[in-house]
Amino acid sequence: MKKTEPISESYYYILLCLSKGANHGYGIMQMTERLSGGDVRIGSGTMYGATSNMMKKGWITEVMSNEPGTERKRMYSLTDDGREALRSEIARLRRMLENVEE
Amino acid sequence: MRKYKTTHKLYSAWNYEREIEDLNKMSQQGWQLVKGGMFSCRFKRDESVRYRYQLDYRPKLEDKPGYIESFREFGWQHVSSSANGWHYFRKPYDPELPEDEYEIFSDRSSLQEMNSRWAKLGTFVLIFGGIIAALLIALLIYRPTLSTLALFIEYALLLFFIGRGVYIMKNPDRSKNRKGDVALTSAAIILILLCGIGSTWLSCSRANTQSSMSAGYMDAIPAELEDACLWNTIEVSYPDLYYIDLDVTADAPMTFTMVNEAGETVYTATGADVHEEDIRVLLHSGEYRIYISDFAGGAMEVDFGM
Repeated sequence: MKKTEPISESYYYILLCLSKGANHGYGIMQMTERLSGGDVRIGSGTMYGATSNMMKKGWITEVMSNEPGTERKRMYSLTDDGREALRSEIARLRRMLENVEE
Repeated sequence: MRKYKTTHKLYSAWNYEREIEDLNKMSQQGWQLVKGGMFSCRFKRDESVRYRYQLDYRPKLEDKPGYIESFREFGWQHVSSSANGWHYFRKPYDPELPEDEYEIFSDRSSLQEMNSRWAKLGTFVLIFGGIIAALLIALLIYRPTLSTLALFIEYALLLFFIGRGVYIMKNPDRSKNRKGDVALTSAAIILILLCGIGSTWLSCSRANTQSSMSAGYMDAIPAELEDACLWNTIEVSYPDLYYIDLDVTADAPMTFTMVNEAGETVYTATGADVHEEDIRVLLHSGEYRIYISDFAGGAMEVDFGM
């Protein structure tokens, strides 16, 4: 099994939000805030850096927006590699929590 | 009241937080940034708004409109971008909003990534400057001149300055709000520029003082000129270590003497066959005379310069 590094909170939430469907940066930020009850905020610089890095890794891709008037907006969609990265992170987190209950 | 204002302040890359702080203060005073840059910032008078600023460093942007758009989604207006990769953003200030609304980096690792993007450039400059400094040391050993020394000092200062910046960028916790850094940056850049100008000035003087004299076969010096004859004069414009290359193939031993304005001998050589190379003499500005005596005929060549 390939050893995977833990991913950062921002990366985790971006992947998690995208697993529910393609979205643009600001949408991901709002969803993250909602999911985390306002605890996790993603700044614009952090979002741009994270999405650029994850595109390089092949975890997400840029897709065309269908909504009129938002053509310039960058929409992101999860790839199979990205889904796998999220799955292994969830498995890692789950194992860590189970260890507490043991 | 004026509508526009330009300020000249030097901010080093590793002191960008201080620059942001100053931009925020300017906005509070009614001066809104129009164009930001390393050497000067341009502001427009507008007291009806107040902004908070942020800086991002991204020298390589494949899709700049997309980048600006992704900041715009978060409420950030793009003000300007400098040629060296700094992007200025602003957001209208609303005291109701939490402070982290005005941050663009929400976690340490993304801030650290920006700092390392700059540190990468800094390291490249350090390696490049280090190679030049090493070459200058070699040159100083081989042919020491004041202009090479000035150039070396310039590079040493530059390396120290940039090296310190790279260190601060890699250890951001120690760089929080360095108030003295604006003054230090200005002083360092002025010092570096002065060394550069000094070195260029000194090396330009080479062209003025470089001279080559050669005498083909000459007749013996007439007896009535006694035993010494003024052969040539040299005008030295700038003090430095000069070299003399002397080649004498005379029919009989002769004496070559270089005398300064006060009549003191700065260099002398005697012989029928003199082949001296790279003799170093410290010359001050002024006129130097070259005398030759007991010249019984032959060939002589003198090269002189820096």
